[in-house]
Amino acid sequence: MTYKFHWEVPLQNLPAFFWGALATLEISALAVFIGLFIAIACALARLSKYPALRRAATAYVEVIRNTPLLVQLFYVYFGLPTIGINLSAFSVAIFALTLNCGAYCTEIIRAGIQSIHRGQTEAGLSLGMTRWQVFRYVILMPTLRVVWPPLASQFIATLLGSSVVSQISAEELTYAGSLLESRTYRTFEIFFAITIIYFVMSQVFSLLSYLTGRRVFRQAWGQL
Amino acid sequence: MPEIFIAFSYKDILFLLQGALVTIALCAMAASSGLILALAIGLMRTAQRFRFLRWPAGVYVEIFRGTPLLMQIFIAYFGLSILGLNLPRFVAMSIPLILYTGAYMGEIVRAGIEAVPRGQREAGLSLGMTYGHLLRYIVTPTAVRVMIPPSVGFLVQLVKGTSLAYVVGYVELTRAGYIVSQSTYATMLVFTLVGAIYFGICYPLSLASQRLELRLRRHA
Amino acid sequence: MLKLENVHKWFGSLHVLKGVSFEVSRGEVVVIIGRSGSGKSTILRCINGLEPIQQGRIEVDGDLVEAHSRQVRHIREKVGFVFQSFNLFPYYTALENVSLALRIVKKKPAAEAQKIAEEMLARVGLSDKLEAYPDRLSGGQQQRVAIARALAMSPELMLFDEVTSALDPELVGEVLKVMQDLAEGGMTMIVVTHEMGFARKVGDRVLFFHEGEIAEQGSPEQIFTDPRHENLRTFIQSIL
Repeated sequence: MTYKFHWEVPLQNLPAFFWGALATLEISALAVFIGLFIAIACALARLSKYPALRRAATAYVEVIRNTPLLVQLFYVYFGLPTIGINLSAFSVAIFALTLNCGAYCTEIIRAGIQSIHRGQTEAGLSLGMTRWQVFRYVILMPTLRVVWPPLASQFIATLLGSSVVSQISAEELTYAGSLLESRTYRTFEIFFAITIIYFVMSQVFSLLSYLTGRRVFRQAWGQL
Repeated sequence: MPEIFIAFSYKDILFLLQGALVTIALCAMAASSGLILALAIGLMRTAQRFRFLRWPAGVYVEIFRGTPLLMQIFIAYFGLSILGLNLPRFVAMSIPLILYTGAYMGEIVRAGIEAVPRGQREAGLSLGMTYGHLLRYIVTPTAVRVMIPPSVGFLVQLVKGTSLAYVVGYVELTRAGYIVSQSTYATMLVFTLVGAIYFGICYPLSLASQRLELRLRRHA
Repeated sequence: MLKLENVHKWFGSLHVLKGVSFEVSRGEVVVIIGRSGSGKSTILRCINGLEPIQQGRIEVDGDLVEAHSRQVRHIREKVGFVFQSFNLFPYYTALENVSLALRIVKKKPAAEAQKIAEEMLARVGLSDKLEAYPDRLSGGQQQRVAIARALAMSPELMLFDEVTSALDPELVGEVLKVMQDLAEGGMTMIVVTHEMGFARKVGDRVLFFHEGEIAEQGSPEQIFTDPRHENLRTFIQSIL
């Protein structure tokens, strides 16, 4: 093995990676946040009594879930200008990631609502609760509790998946790596370091979501 | 608009389909080799006698599930050339996919083994069976049935994952689409086709996975 | 043939067995009664090594029982165990459930294993259900298959862990009949149960467990008509 490792390359460029990681977090957080609104709307659409709504939402979800994120990204990146919308690569990245995340979150929310719904609503109504009270105490709280772990997983998946937006030169962590790589050609060391950063981020968020989940859990019980 | 249709011919469609074949070949390779790795990982994670095996497998799973597949491909691809290994590109591309499959399928295997009720294992033990007997005759029938729906679901993930071979210039379906779009300028048409082909491969698998899941739930 | 000396067991910090000692001779039918949590199921699981003990000795026919060891397997070939939740193997037919261990543990050829399995299932009255899968059998039938499965191994000692507690009342009788026939045939049995009628009719000796110890023991008549221990008296009153 005649390759000499130049670990000082990534080490000297940590600030660039730091800003890249921040951008990655920003993109992922936005994607999940906005995606959640889409998800709630689509989940309700899938559970509604209007077949047209159901089919539209299902089509959206199935198309996104059965095509690669990279292809979706290219589609949006090349497609938006043809209908006159010119966004920065960064915005395109958020757009595509949001659409992607929205579809996966729809399934999570739908499963959450369905896991609670049935007889509990009837029980609440029989106790004299109003529809709004039933929604708030019998459906919403338990659904949040059920939905929290998979949503946290989805956030981490989005975080890791966001690395593909580097392919349209959106400025985040992986792209920072490729910029550095085109200058120094130290591909292996750079991306090894970046992988460690991704790993640390995913572990930290995994831990945070676990701890938060336990607090929400106990909090919910207290309120009920 | 008409120029687009002139530039794009059925030869381009053939090129795309060739890319699709490469995608499927990569998946087949990753799935079959990855399954063997996954069985090993899953067994290590549930080891009873040699408990120390649990944590290396656990670390392996955490690493490959906690890092982007894109990075895994980069590191494997460039790492291999550093090590001086000049493997054929197909093999070089398969290795990170196999490791990825090993981690995700490993968890599926683990869940399958743990899905076997404790009572059945105790019944087997009470009849004098060894751990090996238990695995082969008691755990396997139940575990395999439990593992099938999520495994089919993972295949969908794998197919989508092969699209990342694009980033190292390997020609599979996505890279083929990019190449065609560059030469014909019919970008939207090309990527719609690419998306449709992926959908055509993945959607039946997704449906099958959902149906298998329902069948499993009804029998349990 | 079975000897327990001063057996202690803890689950974490919970002391579930506090110095249990008793002996069982060949052909004897010992019935164990007591409240939930008194340790009666636990002691049974310790005898065939499913649960480890922290102090004391358990000997089956002179062999020491050590849970999680390699030798315990050989003891288990001599000791049959029937579970409260049957634990039949769901993807095997009744016949296969009974013959499986014969083939892979006792290494009998397939034809011989099948013959023995058919005999055992005939003994418990299920000759017409050989090809049935467990999900097609009633609770009582499943439990009888479980008994046949344990019997097929020609055990010298049979352990029954509340085997009728999970059954609907009308199915209990068929299982108890099988157990009675076994006892009359001379099998050494330890039965943990709430079925007091069975204890009186079939038992040679009754052990009353209370909070991890044997609080009282004696013949069925003694225990049921003249209980001495106060807890035993309240227990019997609450059952009858």
